[in-house]
Amino acid sequence: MLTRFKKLVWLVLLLPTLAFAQKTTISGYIKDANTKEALIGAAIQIPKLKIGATSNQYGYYSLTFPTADTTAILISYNGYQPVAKQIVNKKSLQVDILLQQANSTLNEVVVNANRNEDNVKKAQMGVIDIPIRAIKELPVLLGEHDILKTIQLLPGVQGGQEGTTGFYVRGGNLDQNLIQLDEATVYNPSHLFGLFSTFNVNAINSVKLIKGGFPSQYGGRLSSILDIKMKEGNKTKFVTEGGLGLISGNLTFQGPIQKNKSSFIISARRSYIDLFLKQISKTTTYRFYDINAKVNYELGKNDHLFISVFKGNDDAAYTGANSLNYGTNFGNSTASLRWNHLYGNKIFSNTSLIYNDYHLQLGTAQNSYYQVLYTGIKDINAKTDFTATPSTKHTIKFGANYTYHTLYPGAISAKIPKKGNKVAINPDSLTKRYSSEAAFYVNDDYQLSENLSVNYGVRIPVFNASGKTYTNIEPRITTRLSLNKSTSLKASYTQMNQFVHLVPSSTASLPADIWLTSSNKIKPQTSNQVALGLFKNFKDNEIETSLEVYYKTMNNQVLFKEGTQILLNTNLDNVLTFGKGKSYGVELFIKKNFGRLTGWASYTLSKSTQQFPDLNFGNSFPSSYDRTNNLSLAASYELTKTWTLSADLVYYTGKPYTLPAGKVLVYGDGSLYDNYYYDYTNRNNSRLKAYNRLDISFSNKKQAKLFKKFPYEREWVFGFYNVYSRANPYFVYLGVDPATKQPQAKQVSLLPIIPSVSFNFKF
Amino acid sequence: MKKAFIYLTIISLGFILACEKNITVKPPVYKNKVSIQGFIEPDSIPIIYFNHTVPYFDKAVKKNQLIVRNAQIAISSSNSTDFLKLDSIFDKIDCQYNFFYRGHNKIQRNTKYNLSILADGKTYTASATTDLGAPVIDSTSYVTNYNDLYGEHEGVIIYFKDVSNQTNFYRYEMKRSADTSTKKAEAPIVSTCLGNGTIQVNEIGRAVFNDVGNEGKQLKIVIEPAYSHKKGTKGDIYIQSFDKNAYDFFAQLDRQKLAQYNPFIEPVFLQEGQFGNAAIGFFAAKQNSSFVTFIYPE
Repeated sequence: MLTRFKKLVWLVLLLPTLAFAQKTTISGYIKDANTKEALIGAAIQIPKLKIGATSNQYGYYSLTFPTADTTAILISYNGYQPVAKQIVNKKSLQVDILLQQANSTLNEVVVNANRNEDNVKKAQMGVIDIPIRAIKELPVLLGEHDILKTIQLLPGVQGGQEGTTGFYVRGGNLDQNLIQLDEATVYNPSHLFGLFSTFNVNAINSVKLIKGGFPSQYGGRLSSILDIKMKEGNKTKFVTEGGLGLISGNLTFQGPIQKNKSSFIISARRSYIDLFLKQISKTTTYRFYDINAKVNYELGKNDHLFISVFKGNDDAAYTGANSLNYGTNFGNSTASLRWNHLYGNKIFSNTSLIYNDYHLQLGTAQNSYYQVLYTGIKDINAKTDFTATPSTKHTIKFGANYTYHTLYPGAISAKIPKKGNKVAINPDSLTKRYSSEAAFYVNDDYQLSENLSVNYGVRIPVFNASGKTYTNIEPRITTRLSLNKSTSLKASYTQMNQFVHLVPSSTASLPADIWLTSSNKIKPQTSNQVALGLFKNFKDNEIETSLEVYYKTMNNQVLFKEGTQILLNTNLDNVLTFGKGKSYGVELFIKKNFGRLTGWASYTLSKSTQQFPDLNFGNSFPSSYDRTNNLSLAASYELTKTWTLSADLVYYTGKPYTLPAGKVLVYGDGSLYDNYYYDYTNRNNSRLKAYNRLDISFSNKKQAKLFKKFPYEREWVFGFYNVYSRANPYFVYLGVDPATKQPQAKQVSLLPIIPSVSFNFKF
Repeated sequence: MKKAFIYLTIISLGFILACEKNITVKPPVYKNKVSIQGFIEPDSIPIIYFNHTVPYFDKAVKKNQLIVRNAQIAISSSNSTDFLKLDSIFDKIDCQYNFFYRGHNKIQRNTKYNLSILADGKTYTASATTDLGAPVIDSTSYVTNYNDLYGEHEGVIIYFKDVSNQTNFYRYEMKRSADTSTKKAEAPIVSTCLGNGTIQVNEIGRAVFNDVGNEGKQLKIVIEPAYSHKKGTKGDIYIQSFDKNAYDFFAQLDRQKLAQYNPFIEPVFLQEGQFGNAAIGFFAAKQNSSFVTFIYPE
């Protein structure tokens, strides 16, 4: 049966190649020469034929080209010395390519003779690979390197509340971002009240953000995919690295299980802030940890097995300003079993079994009111993906994905009882909501000519919950037209569906969101997005620039009805209201990849609105994540071979919020409150003050010897978050001056200037 | 070194002490409206409150600044027309005059009345029919702890019979006396006008109720008293029955206050009522029950 299936697959996939005779295919893995770690997105090119390919997320590549006596190929990857190889007349060849890391970026100008030019050569838009190096070099809050903070500095991406890791992409809500760690969904990627992400940078291999022009293999969210891959582990030697910051320490240990064949990596991080907080505060406690572990084993030339697990947990309570109290316990656990298999040298497959478990118990109190919410999500996911490269012109991907969701949400919002006995939620008592989500897709990256390529495909999601089935057909297409060697014009259209919804609270200053799946009453969110972009590289790809414009419409957006007070027995489906959203904007991105000065500048001019028949008198209003202007500068400069100065500057328009426009006197003695009521005229009619912040850090990195004997690499990082200590607004609330009876607006700010120091080591 | 590390950590965690300050915000553009609030009840003289609304940050909060003067207000039925005159009564607790327009003729039962207001060149109209039956209070009691939408609170419990064959809307009213030792919503009554004497207060519940699903049945409502009390404090309890226009208005006020104080609730916009977008408010028929004297047990 399997053989017949293989034949059928081959027949379908090789059809496009029948018109050509005498082809050579080279395939294999591109790896780091020292660690044998897969290099994701490395370029393999045949300059003479002007064709090329890139390694996939497992480092695998396959390139087919007309057979010649000898063919020169060039393999390159940012930060690595390029390799040139000669292929002698052969029909097919399996070659693993090892690249040596460049010793210092000071030398990169020389060694990177041929650099990755995917941004102008590939039919992809809205895709940004974030170098781990950049994440490690940017100034950080309290000395903790952070993937998601770096993401917030990219064009089209807006940060959430001050200091938090939440991000909003092209006008979409938080839930519209699919965050995956080794293909497992991470529903809440944050630590420390959302100030840090759960991802330990030392365990991460690659980070890719896709915010438009989604290839068909991705789906389930409207606005972005954040694809994070863990390292596989050093296959040649044991390496230990770690760091001590002000609030936490981390340790990563990796090495071979069987040299060059299998390896492991285990990385753990734990806060010790709770030890200090015990001394200074009885009302504020904080503890978090996360553990990443991964094992991989090459079963043979054609099979590779990966097992990765992740567990992160937070337990916190915070009593701050009078208006703000917060207590939470939440955690993510994921486990992935993945199997790579090669069918010949043209078909690569990955089959995964994934489990994730997320829970969030959150109690917040503001003024005299509190909210307790609980969300539990368990997903069991099975998927299989195939990548076939039947010819030079086609890279075909197809696959299927099935997820079984179990959600159990619950919430209570009420006045704090006089005796302080707040109602607690027992997760076992919550009604479980079961649903199934499946998707099938096929995608072809088709090089029509040297100057024209198209990436097109279709994805068919099917969702079922409580007997209600939703299905749709999602067309996807991205085209690239090269205007010259370093310039291309691209356009894309994508349609997306989303079956899980995070219902946001527009008023609460602290997270008060509840996850729900689609149901009879909650239709799937859908979006249509078109984008147009001009991409140009300068100075032999040293500087990448892009200008993208996008227009996105979103249907079946979910918000709570006005005045909804949730009690434990509230049917959440009945307190929601549905509407549509629209977002459009221009994004400018300038990135310098090499040299002593690296970094980027991004600017986004955008507008995001929503319209709900039951809200704002049915009129359109700015969405809570609308920021007209969003400017980010991130740069790193190598002062010497050991000292690096890094800085980032952020500016964005303030968050919209709703202010009453008028007040109405209502007669009637004896009300528990005053007799003035609000006359609202527009939702989100006011804005917090614009946000801006400068962070800087200095790092000193060099080889040292412990006890003058044991060599190791050490790094000191000194940083300042919010250098000029600007009191950026966290939220504004209204009160009444007791003396004058006049309304007053009060602004709460967090995070003044915060110095930090951290120490990192590696041996 | 260890100490320095601890100090640095503490400084770095300075954000735990969040900074809070008063700020000046740019007031939203607001076009002033008027508010019209008036019940008509059989055998009573009609009273209409007719005020300006003002921008939220406006300093005009005194009732004499808000009243719309020189309005021509008439309440007419098929038989008669009553022209209302501006009047006022001194509120000793608020230490200011309450202003309203008062009619001359008593309202008749089972009669349709039309309200017409002409002010500043604009006309506002609405109508109401006095055909509501009076609910009957069966009994009352008291509970020290009660949990509902409004949180945990003490409660005055009222059992009353829904009026049959009508869609009814209700709220609570208690007439009692108060003095400077009385607290309102847990805050002492501070008034230079009150002196040492006592005054009659009219405590009206903010929550409103309907009889959906309970047609003709006995209803139970639990009210959080606004004014403090001692053992033996007496009050006369009424149940007000009124029409849907008043219910819609007061229901959204109640939801708005909940949202105004509870930061986890979406703000409630006042929707257009009988007067369209020209005015906020209601003109409605009302019928009180007979009163029952209630004595606080503690």
